[in-house]
Amino acid sequence: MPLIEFKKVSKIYKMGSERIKALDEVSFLIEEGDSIAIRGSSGSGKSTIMHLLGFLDQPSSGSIQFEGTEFSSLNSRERAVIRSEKIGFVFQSFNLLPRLSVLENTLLPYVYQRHPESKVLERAHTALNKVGMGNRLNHLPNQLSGGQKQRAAIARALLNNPKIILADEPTGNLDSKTAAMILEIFESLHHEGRTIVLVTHDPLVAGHCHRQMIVKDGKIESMELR
Amino acid sequence: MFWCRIGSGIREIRAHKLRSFLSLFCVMIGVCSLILTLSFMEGLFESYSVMMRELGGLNKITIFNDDVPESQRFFRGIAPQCNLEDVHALSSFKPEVIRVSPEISLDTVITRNGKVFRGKALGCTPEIFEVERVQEDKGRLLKSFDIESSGNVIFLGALAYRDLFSPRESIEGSFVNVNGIPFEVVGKSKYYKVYPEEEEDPYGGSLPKKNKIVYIPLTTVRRKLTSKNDLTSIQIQIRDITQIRETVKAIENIMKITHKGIHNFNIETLEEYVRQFEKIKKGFMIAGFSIGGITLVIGGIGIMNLMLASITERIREIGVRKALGAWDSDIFIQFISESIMLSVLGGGLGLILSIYLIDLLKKIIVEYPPILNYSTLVIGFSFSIIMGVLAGIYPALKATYLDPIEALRYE
Repeated sequence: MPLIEFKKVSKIYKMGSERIKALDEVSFLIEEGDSIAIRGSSGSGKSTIMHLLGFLDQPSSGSIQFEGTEFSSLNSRERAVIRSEKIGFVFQSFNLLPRLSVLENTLLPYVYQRHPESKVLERAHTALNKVGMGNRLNHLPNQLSGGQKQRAAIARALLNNPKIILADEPTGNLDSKTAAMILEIFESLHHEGRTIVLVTHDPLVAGHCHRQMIVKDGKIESMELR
Repeated sequence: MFWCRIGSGIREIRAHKLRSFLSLFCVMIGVCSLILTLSFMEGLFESYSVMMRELGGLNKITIFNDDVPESQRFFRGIAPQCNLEDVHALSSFKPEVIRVSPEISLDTVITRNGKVFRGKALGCTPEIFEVERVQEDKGRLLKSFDIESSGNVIFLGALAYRDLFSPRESIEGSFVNVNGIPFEVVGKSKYYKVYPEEEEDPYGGSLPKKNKIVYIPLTTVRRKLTSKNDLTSIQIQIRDITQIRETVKAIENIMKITHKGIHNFNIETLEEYVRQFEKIKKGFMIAGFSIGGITLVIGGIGIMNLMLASITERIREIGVRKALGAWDSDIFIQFISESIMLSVLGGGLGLILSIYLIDLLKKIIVEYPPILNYSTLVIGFSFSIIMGVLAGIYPALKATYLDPIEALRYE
């Protein structure tokens, strides 16, 4: 069973009286352990795919299955539970909460766990050590560099041990040297067996993934293997 | 888990110190003004009820002599004044009448060792001390054997003692001259006052009548001080104030019989005062709650404003929290608890401020001082919490229904 399956998924936005087709009957599979880059220019529909993958948005038509569960059969609370347990988000602008320390930001997903697992502090420390932030637990986000912020954000995404990590332009706000270090972390996570989905416009970044899905005008233009 | 959310709220409040302080200040002033207004009302009501009690209470009825009415003018010659026959007849009206106190009021000049006191002396029986609630401070009250023996004894009010004796001078074995006749002082009354912080003053303060009077046995007055046999007034203590109208009617009938059907008397109760006071009280309640309510609403608007600003600043945070698995209810609870926290903090400060202010005002304002009740504090504090909830609902709902995608994109 694939981890995620998109079958003829369309997404139509209404802008006043105008209907904009962001996605047009897109179908693809993501297997467990996959590493895939969704690449496209802005307005191509890659962000829409990302939002649908993250259960933040709903398709206008078509079917999305997550581990065999049909998206449309879930209510908003159940979707939130899936986000919390199965998906780790990494954002372009890091989105750390400014008033919380690195450790507290990392612990944030725990607050919304419906079946809290034990040893959460231990898991937070493991995640932070993995991204090399184990020595900055009590720093506030504004005391960190961009690369450090993104590391903390990755640690946060890892806390609940998600099936899939969704990263939306994770290196978009970083210089190339730092970006390379962040991409290294994603690669090592992939080697651990995690499923990684990177959304980017940058072919260099996309090149770090196993597969590349190139999106244009709401359709998949091509699927390339590295 | 709950504390995780409260913690972030406290940090928000601390991160915007001035903004939070301004909102807290609004709430604080609101709660404080509500509590102050209620306490002033409480003080007013309390002073009033003390005054009522010291004047003899609601179950006191007074009968005065009055002119013969125009329609009965032909009977003027045979119309009797209030007299002991009335007292006798009224006493037998049981069980509604508990006590009857016959009184003769007399202007007197009392002297002792060159000191002079001018005032009303009341020829009376021991009943008056019950009806008017007068107690001895030193010595004893007049007793029934004083009446039977028509002894030359006198019980002094606080002001008479003050004028005739040196401060703290013993009354034991001392005599005064009443209109030139020596009387033995058997006791003195305490100084009566309505307000707890009131100072004694030479005019009798808030209860001048009660402090100024002196008491002499009725029989003594009739034999030795006046040629008139008639009574000035009769005071009656009744059993049941809920039956006061019926009782007044019955008393009027009794008086008409003893007065040969001539209505040359006037029956007074405190009921009219009470009714007026109830009206005033209602007005004060409405005014008080309106003032308090309006200031609290202003505080609520302050909180709502702060919450709306805070949410606009934290749109991304809301998006992140939703992406991390927060339910709508989690977001709602987070923001409503922040709002409640603000109002509880402001309310708490308001309580402290009002406690200090009332303490201070009590010392400055002698007449009708504010009284702080426990229940007033509870009302003030619960009002602030309710306001926190009400002011928080709209901002919290706004946060709850943010689209996570829009929220995450928000710059």
